[in-house]
Amino acid sequence: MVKVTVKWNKEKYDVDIDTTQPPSVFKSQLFSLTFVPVDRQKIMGFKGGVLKDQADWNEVGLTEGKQLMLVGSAEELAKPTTAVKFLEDLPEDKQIASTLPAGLTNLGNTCYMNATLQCLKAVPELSKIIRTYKPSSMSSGDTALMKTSQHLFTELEHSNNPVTPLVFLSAFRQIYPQFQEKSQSGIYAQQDAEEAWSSLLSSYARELLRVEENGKSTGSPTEQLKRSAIGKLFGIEMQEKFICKDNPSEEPTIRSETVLKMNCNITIETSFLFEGLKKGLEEEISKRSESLGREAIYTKKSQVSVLPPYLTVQFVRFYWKEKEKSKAKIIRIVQFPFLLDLFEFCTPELKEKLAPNRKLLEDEENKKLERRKHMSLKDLDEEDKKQKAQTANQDIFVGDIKPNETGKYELIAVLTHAGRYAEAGHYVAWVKRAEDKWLKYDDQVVSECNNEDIKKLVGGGEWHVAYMCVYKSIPVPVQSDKITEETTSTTTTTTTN
Amino acid sequence: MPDKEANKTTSVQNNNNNNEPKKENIKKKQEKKEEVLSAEDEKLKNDLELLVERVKDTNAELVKAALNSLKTEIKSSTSSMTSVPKPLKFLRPHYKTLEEAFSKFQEGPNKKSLADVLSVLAMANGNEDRNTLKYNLLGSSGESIASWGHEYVRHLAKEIGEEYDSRQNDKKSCDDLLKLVDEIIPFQMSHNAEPDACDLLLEVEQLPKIYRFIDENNYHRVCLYLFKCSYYVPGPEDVQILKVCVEIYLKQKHYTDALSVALKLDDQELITSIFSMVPKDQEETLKQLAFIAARQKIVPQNYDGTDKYSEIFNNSKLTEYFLNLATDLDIREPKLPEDIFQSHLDNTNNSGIDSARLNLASSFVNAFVNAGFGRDKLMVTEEDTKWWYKNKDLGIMSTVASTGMILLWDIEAGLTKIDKYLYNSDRNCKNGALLAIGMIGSGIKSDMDPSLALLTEYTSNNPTSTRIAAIYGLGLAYAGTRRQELFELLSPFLSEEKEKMEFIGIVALSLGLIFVGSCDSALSELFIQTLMERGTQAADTHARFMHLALGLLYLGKQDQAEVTLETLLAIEGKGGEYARLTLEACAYAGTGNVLKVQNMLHFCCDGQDNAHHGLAVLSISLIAMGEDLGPDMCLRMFDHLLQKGNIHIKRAIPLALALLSPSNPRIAIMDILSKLSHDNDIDVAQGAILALGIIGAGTNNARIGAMLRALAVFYDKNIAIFYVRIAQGLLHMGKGTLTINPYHMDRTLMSPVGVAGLLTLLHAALDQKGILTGPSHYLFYSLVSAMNPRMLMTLDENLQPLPISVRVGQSVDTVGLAGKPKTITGFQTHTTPVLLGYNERAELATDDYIALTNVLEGIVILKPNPNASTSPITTTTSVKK
Repeated sequence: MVKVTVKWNKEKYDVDIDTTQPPSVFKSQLFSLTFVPVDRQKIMGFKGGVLKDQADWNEVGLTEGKQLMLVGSAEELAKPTTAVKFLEDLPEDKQIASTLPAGLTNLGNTCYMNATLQCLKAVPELSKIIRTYKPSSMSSGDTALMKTSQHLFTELEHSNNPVTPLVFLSAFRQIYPQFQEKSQSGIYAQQDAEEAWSSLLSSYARELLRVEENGKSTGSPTEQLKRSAIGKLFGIEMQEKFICKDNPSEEPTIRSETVLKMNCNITIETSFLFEGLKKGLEEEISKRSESLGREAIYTKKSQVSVLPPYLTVQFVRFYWKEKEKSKAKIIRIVQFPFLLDLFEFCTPELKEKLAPNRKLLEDEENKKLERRKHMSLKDLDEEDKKQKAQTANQDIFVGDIKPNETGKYELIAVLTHAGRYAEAGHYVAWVKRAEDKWLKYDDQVVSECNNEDIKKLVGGGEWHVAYMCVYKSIPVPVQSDKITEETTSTTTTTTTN
Repeated sequence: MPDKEANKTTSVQNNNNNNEPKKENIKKKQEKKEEVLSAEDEKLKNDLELLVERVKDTNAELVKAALNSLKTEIKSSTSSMTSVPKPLKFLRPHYKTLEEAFSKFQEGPNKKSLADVLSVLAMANGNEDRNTLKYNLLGSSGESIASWGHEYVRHLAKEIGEEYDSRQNDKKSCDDLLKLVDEIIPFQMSHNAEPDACDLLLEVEQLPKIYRFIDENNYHRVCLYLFKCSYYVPGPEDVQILKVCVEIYLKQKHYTDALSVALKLDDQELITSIFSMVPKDQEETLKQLAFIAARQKIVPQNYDGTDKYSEIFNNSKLTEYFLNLATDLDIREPKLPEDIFQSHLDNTNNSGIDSARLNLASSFVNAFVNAGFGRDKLMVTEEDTKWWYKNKDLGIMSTVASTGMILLWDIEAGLTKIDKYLYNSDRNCKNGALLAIGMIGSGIKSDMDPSLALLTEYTSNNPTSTRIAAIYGLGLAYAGTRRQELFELLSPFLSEEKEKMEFIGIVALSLGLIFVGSCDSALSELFIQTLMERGTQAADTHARFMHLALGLLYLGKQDQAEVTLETLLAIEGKGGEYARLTLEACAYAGTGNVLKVQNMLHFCCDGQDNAHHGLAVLSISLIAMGEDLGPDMCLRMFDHLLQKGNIHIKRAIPLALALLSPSNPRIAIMDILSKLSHDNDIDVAQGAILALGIIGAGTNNARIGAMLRALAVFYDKNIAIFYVRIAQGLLHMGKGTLTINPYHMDRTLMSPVGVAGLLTLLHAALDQKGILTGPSHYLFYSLVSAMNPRMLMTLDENLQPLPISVRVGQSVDTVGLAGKPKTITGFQTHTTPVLLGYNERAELATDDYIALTNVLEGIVILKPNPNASTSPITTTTSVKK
């Protein structure tokens, strides 16, 4: 028996070596002390490096009280089950997708157009429609614009570098010469983004409908608009009720109208988007009264009869100042919500339709809250991930554009104007990318920001002020039960794996 | 009263007068001024003129009396430092007269006496033909030199030096001069003029004579002066001077100082003898010596490795002391790379997809930042983060190897934590573990030799990549140890013909690291032979490590490399050129040798497009680093090279700047690098970014930090982001507690191992695409051998930490100053352990303890001061509070 001291992991063990037994016995002695598996034990301090199992005790220089060192651990290095995907492994276009999207170069006061395009691009259905557009054999003035738009949107989708919309812009100016206006210094003048926005959409609407209906479109422009893809996406159907003020006995006339945006009229009392919208729905106009046989004051009360999947709101911030002969801007702070509920503006018929859906939505949300309460943080994360994956998997079916069925909307894009005057200043687009993640498209510069930055766009100063907002409808959670079922089933399968 | 007034005015005038540089002017003015001389001066002048007249007299008695009174006048005159004493001034016009009189004199006491007077007057006459000395030698030997005053002695000493030189050239005897020297030295030594005495003795090559005059009051000033002189003296005289220094320190029983000089000499015998000279009862002194030697990674020959000092020599407690410092500074909490990057503050995007390159950079950053702390949040944590798996191929190797740096120095507990990676089926993971095993033992010795025992089996019969990891691990673990068994183990690999140059280069490099500065001829022959056999492969990019290894063998050995340098001429082509440049630079590393710098500059300026120009630029800084003036001159040179040089030069300049001041963020260098970091050439920019990391390594410098964060945004999508991240990691190395500057002991000692580590990285950085950015990124870990805590830790005699208040401030150069000047300025008082920056010094703030070494750096043992003003017990309690 020889007594030795073995050091392992800063601890010392006194061990008696039975020299009649092979080193493997000594190793099993050490195993009982340290739990280091025998085949992982590396014993040092003897001659000839690491002690070998077949070593002879007489040849390794074993002496009484020898200090030895044991290296080894019982720990296993777990190998992750899933392989890691690296950015470098991805094909080039995917690498781009994972980074920031491309911006648009400014071609001389064209920020109004850049901001508009980026906002419109934020509507995936529209983007898809434009990219999959197939021109018909007959072409019209709008065809060129549509073709260049298609090219531009495709380029924006695949490029990582700023895109120059030169061809698009010249096609656009061809159709709408008012945007060709130049200032005294000979450069193109600043334009109203809203004007560009509606011009562009009406062109798209005309062309898309023409292609779809083989150029045999009939009906009033309003009806045509309603039928077009653009109308399905953005069209708000209004029921307008005219009540004659001067002659209360006159039967109110009711008219149906499709508009592409709602106006938020700003007066001295307006502090919230909701108030402004409400005001926009009730106005006084003068028109010829049949009963009185003269011009009379009517109150026009509008109610929404169909809500679009994408709701556009315009803050009426610019007005013509007669005195100064200039367009002035209202910089008053108008708060806009991230979640908008238009239930109140709807016609009773629509309200009736919406009510059950809204209840479903509320229940679902309550359920979710309840579930979250009982779930650990980890599960929450996983659920979030799953939901995200699901939303990502839902492909966009263009033919399947459904109107809003809940009356509820979430904010997805904001177009802002900075500066005091309509003829000057700067337009920027802010587009939602993910929860609390927004992209700021400042011409060719694209950067990330968060909800806080968006909240700052309410106005009140020189900073960027919201001018147009795009809201996306919150769908009815009809399949929600299915989804939860699916998720539970997948979780069980993974656990059994 | 009026008399005094008059006196004042004239003295002022005199002063004005003496400021005039030209003799003629002085004369003219004097003539003009004669009218305004005060009555007192007028009288003195007339008296002196009378005496001169009398000297010309034939009456010997009269002459004698006149000479005596002349002497009295001269000796009694006092004046300020800046003005010539009045008698000398008034006698100046009569110098020629007296000289003539002298030549007519008969031999005899009068002639000698007049010679004395002439000797003094010659001093004021500003002559060129060493008349002071001439007449002194002719004069009466009985006359004490000291009686004529300091200025005279200084003048005489100067002329002796000149005369000695000319006589040596003519091979004439200098006995009379040496006699005079013997007279002067005691005077100078006793009058605060030690530098003058040293100069004189150096001039006449009689330095050992100084021993007789050394006492405990002046030894320090003498040694300090001599030590600094050695920088400016060509070899082999510098060695002589340093040996005298050692001798003086030993005579004064200052063993630690003697040891540090001996370490500079790198003389094993001398070092061993110092250890054996320490009286047996002074155990703590021996321990302190051991600490100093251990920092330089040197073990004396007579030490057998079993006694109580082995722990110190082995550096095995380094991890404990370092963790003690970390605990004291409250920085043991691990940091994530993201804590360093702070990228959430930048407006850059994180796509959420893992980038292999960025993850690899994070692995390095994690390693550097948590180096030596034994804990991190990615690799050595309790919970399995699977971080290593988030890397690709060779990235896995470097990532797993990072465990070695995190557990640095902790050879006992650390190896167990690395063990599990050895059994992974992924080859890169296993290779990383092997490198980690080597890294962990960097600078640590162990009787068990775990690194050698564990790595040996992997050095052969394994895939090349595994062998490379194991061999380079051995190189890092045993750098500077010169272990013969490693020579036997590794050198046969050099002749494996089927292996590529990458493998051969790493084998050679490991051998170079292990035998750094050894001048091992067998090894150097082997290297040269391998280079010759490899033929054109000697110019391969990985061959640079073999060339570097050859240089490392002769690191700092100056002319001992000459023979090998000659032999290298036999290797033709680019490979031979690389080897010669490297060897020459390494041999003269840190010497500031101007001729060698010129050689390199000439090479740079041949107007051709030679890739090795960059190497020459790096070599310039290698030679110039380590002394005060060299780096400044280099900055100027590099400025010109940047403007006129070709792209190879431009690419090397950031690296050369990094070598000039590692872990020492000088503003001037920082500015140049900041400019270069935005260069159009990506190699220049990456080099500059890496250099920013190196000059700021372990300092947490805020300015560099801001620069790097800005660069991280600028290079967001560029491959240079890899370098930016690594530089950020370097900047926060050891959370700001480590240094990679190879100079220590008050910046006097160069650690060869440290230089070797730095050079390896910089040579690798000369080819970024082929080596560092490419597959051999593990070479970033070369820095491990240069890494050391930049701390001052105080221990009591039983080696237990002893917190004590110290003053830390900028060091002041006190060489050649009389008395005991302050050595630091702008100090702050701290309690040990404390961090020391480059160019900072510490001194004890209490007199309760005496430090066993004069240089408060690294680990210092304190013993209670028997003559303390207050009792030590009370202060320790107050410190504890």
